[in-house]
Amino acid sequence: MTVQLNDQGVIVLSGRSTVSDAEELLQHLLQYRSAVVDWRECSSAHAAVVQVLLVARPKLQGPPSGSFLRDYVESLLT
Amino acid sequence: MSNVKNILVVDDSSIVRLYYRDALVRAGFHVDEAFNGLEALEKVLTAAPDLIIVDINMPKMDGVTFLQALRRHALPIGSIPALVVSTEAGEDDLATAVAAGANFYFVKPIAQATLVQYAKLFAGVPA
Amino acid sequence: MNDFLEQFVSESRDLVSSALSDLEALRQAPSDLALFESVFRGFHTLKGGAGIVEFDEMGRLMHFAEDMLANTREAGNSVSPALVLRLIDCLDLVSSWLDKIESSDALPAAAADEVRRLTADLSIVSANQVAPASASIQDSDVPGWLLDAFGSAYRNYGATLAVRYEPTPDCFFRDQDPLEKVRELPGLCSLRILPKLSWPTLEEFEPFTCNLVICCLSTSRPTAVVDHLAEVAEQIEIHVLTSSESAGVPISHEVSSAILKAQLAVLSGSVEEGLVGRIGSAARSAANLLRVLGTDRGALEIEEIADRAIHSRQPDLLSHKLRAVMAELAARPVVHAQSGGPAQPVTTSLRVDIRRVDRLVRLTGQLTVSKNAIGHIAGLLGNSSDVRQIGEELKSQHAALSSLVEQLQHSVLALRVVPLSHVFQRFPRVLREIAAKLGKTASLTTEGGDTEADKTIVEGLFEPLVHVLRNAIDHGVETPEERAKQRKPALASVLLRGYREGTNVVIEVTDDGRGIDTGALKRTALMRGLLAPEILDAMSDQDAMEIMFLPGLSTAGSVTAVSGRGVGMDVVRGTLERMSGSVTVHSSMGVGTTIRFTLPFSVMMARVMTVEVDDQVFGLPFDAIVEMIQVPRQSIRPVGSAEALVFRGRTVPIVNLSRALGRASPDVPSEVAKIVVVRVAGQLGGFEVDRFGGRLDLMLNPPSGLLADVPGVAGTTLLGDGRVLIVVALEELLE
Repeated sequence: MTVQLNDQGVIVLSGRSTVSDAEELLQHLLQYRSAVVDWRECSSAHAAVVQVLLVARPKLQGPPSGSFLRDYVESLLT
Repeated sequence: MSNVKNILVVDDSSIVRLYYRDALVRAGFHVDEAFNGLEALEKVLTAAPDLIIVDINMPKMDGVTFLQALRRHALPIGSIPALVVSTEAGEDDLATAVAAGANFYFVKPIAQATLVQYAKLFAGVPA
Repeated sequence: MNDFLEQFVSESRDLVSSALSDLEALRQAPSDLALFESVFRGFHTLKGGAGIVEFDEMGRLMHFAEDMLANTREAGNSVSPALVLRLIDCLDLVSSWLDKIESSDALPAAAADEVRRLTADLSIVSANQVAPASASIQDSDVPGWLLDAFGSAYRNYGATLAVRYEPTPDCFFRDQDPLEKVRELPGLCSLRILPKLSWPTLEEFEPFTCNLVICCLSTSRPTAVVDHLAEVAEQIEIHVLTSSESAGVPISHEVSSAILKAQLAVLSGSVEEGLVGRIGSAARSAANLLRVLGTDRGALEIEEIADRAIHSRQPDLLSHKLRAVMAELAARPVVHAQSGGPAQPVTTSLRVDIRRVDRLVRLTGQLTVSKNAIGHIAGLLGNSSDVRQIGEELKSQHAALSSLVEQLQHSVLALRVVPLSHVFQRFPRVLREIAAKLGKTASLTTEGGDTEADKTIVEGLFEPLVHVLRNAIDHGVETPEERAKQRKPALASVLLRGYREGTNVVIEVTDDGRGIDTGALKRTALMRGLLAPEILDAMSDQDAMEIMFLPGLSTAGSVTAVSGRGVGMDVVRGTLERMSGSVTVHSSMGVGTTIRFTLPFSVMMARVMTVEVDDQVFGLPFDAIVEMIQVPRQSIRPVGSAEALVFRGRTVPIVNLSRALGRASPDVPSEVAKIVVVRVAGQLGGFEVDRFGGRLDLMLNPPSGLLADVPGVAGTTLLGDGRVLIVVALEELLE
């Protein structure tokens, strides 16, 4: 599962995040407004997922492992 | 393939690091920071930068020791170009840094434009 | 660029230029049928030319414009101001295409988009000719979305193009991932993601509707980017960054050799530890440098040699190569790291009047005859003992030869002479761009475009004129509100005027703006410590204007993006002086300012009338001479401390040339005075001389050494008899 809420209330994005993850991520963020999103294990993310992050602007724990995300996308979200 | 070059800035002064970061980020680089040679070595091994900008006088591990350690590493880590920016203006200091493997030596203060110009050249980024 | 394209570009520029002036005239007289027809023909001919060279987009655009005009004519309407402005936009676009064609032989990749945008505009405008478009023309080359996404930082990445990608809102449902497409974009160097519509609250947000606009910068070629994004072509907009937008700073030779020398130092270390790392880092540094300098092959060679050096643990192998590279670079002229094309087209070809070429051909025939005659005389020397006769013949042939060489000089230089309109014609568009960027409105009138001058001088004028124009619009022209308060017309006017004066060409830029505030100049000079307070206090207003030529000055509150890039008037003056010219300022507060450039008509030639005073020969600029007269001494009357003569009902001040140039005047004035009457800056003046000479065309050397400080000396040349001829700068003498 690429989107998971762990016991510490951190939303973890891992592996290759796909379009269906967007909905789940959104739900988690709606429920826990101040949750941190840990994407250190995230190697790639679908545009829909990035879109959710752009709207919600949660606190991020990075850097993401994927080089494209790290080089180009991370700076847009911090 | 990503075209954004990564630069590791190593200096114990947070203001100096900010000064370099400001110029380099605006020039399109991705910047990582370390406050002494020890932290720098860790960072280099985690994510190898395309260029290192390093001070000499730092606690725990100074720039010269860091460069010696860096250059002893196997390629490609060992061959990462490194520019020294130091307060020391003496001939001996320059010679020591070069012997340790510094690819260029600047005496502080360095203008942002100069920093960016040389960073681009050493990282292979067109002006 | 082949001859055919050259001709196309040259002719198209002429057509664009006349169409533009017709359109300007049409704006004043919208029902003028003759003007209308002329504009129509212009577009029609441009369309034809585009078709022949197969520049389809240009042809389409011209065709569309033609259609619009035809519709207007059929409907019996006069041409609305809005339509005129849009047609001007089309012609401006064609001008910019012609520039691109000159440097790269092809239309820019974005041409099709530009055509779509303009034709959309055109059809809206001609459909409702009732509502005139506002005067603010979006003439800026940089699209709004690019500035919105990156700010002015888009220039910092060395990118060659910018891409705007707007995926359809339902693309997620169609199994598309826009980020995936962008991730693999060739040459990607920077990315921005913006919302298309403003984000709703998190509760209202629909995660599967794509509301993203992705803007990218790339260092790749437009064709590569277009290929990569072919599937979503309709969602893409590409803007090619011109070399002036992503301009490279040339890498000085000092910097590159310093870097290479530093690597040599690294390689000379003798410590075994870290040797491989040192060799590797020196190689990477040098290779990266070479790549930036444009020699990829050199970079590869360095990497290969570095491999061998590392393998055999011999740094000298690499040192040797680096030294060779340094020697090569030293021999090379400095190259721009990223030259996508000249920022302004420099024409290396000339359109030449064929009659001038014919004259040259005839001259070569005559020169051959002369050459043969001299050869014959040389042969005579062997046979005849009558040296005097041979001397006579030689003298005669020499005179003939001299005359021919003179004519040759003339004719060749005449080839290089072009009318000022060559540079003037670019200015209406430049002015529009500058005014639009600065939020002001101004119109440009040009005069004297058919005045001729040497090609290099005319071309060299472009940059300084742009600077002056920028300053005029930026600092000189007031905002529309300020102008209204002063009851000046909202549209500021700028006059660009050229004329011949003596051996000079004069170009003036006159604006009707606020004039130069000498008080502000003085205050700024004081603040910047440029001049001592005593000097400033003692300065007259005219002197104070010279302050603007001091380096490091800017009187605007903030240095604007348009004129703030180190474009001081000191730079302008320097440029003019390098062309043996000068810059002066005349201004009146609240009324306007005139900047005057004075340049030699030709870089080499001066035509003078020689006169003698004592044993010194002077040259007076031929074109300035009105008449050479001899008058009785009594007709020269004292007027105050000076002297004057009545000449054709006008009072003409007389100056003794010898005295004017600081030499002693004769003890006993002659009964008859020889006067050369000249016209300078519209005024008549007279010089008294001892002897009249004749007309002479000569190569002028600028005054140097002792003569450089003497006012009134324009230059010198060496006469055949070894004497120095001093050419007089009339303007300076008669002040």
